[in-house]
Amino acid sequence: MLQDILKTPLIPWQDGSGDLTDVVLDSRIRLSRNLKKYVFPDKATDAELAAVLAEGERYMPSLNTLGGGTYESIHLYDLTSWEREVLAERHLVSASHIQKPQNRGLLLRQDGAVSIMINEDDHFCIQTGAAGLQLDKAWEDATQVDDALEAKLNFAFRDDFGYLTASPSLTGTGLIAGVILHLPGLVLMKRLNRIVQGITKLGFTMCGMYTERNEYIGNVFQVTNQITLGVSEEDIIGQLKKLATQIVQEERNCRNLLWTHNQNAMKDRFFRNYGVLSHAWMLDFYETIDFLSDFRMGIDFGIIQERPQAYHALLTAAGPAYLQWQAGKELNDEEQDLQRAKVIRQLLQDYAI
Amino acid sequence: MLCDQCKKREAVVHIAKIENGRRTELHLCAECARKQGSLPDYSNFNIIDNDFFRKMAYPDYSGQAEEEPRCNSCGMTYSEFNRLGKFGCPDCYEAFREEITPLVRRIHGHTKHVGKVPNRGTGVFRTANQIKRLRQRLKKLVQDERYEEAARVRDEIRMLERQLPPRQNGKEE
Repeated sequence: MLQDILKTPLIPWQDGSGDLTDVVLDSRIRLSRNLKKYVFPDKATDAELAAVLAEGERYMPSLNTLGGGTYESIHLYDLTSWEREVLAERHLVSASHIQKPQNRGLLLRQDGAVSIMINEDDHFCIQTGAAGLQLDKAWEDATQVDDALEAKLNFAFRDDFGYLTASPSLTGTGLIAGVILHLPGLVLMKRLNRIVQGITKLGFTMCGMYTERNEYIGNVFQVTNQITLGVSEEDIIGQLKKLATQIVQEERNCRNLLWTHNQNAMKDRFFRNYGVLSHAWMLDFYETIDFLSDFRMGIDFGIIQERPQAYHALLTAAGPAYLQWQAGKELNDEEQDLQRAKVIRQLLQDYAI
Repeated sequence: MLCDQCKKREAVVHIAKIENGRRTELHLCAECARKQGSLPDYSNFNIIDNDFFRKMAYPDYSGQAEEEPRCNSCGMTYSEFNRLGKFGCPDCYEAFREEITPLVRRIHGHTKHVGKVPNRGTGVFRTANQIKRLRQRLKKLVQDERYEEAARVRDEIRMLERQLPPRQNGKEE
């Protein structure tokens, strides 16, 4: 099962469903929980970490009865370093979770929509994902898993500080809700700063998903809440939904403006970059991420005849860890660029309409 | 220029004061200035010591290691928490409650959890939370002058309150 998920460039839940999919790529929930009797992972001994891992695994069968699919327990230490890197690149685990793989675990649902990190910053971090704007669905999955675990495990909780987490910035609900947005219009029209300022005032934050030399590339951004205490889960999710809807509206306005004023220039740009993606012999990672933004916008405008999911698949396939894991060996820069171009040419054929 | 006080050594400290709109100037040598308290004693003062950044971030940090609060469960001290930004165990929240309350308020703007509570155990948390929600609804119903519904909610609250142990009747401070 893990191998299937590692191999496919599209995780099963990335099915193009959900709302506002022209801008919202996906919705994510992270729920942090800790066991009462144990010290937090950073301070724990190997024996304590192993005990927490065993507690999580012991109650995995009750997750299988929830109806969302069966789970697999994965010890990060048993994986190859490439496999771990691919998991992180695909956001199934965090980058810090694979730093020290000993006694770190992952409970992965077969469709990849739920992944529970064990012994990351907190004992349990329940992560869920859903395509497009579907925060409610992602939250439903997360809270269901939380309830199932909580029925068996004693989570650290206080009346005043809520669910206790290793970092005081997560205490309370322990909930981080996020939406991943593709915002080429706002970036091209240079209106992103104003949006970021508005978001910050409301207690949310925006960061780029891909950066190179301190610059955001690919026009993919994540908006998440910063406040977890004193706000209910429903309020956090409701606010984020509203915020995402507003940003989508702004983004659509910008795209329409660009289109009405520079139709030929835009078309030219989409086709040129599409040409490079589909014919280049070597493709650099950052260059690819940039071209993919135009590729996606071209699809959204109906200029490029490809499936929107091809964009998600190519984003995964372009990743350095994915390429090297697939090749089964370490690749130098040139080999990576060759391999990337080859995989992308192939995938464009596989996903062709 | 010679020192205004001893009139022997060269003046190196120049103090200009404006008091009640009148400007006075005083020129002192290092020794007289130190005696007078206008110059701090730098002899055992190391500005960039290990606590420099911590003091910048937490100016009220006093650095008294022996009186420092310590978590009995995991042994973490408050200064260790300050350095790492992370707690050692769930009990640290109780051990450092006074110290972290202002910090938590700065991060979240709140110090009191609302939202989901664990189901298990005595159900005290859940019931208390439910009462809190019902009280909010009651307030709104009264505002909207929907008294019949309000009375029903009030009865519900009374029933729930009876389930709670006497000291935790869910009242908000």
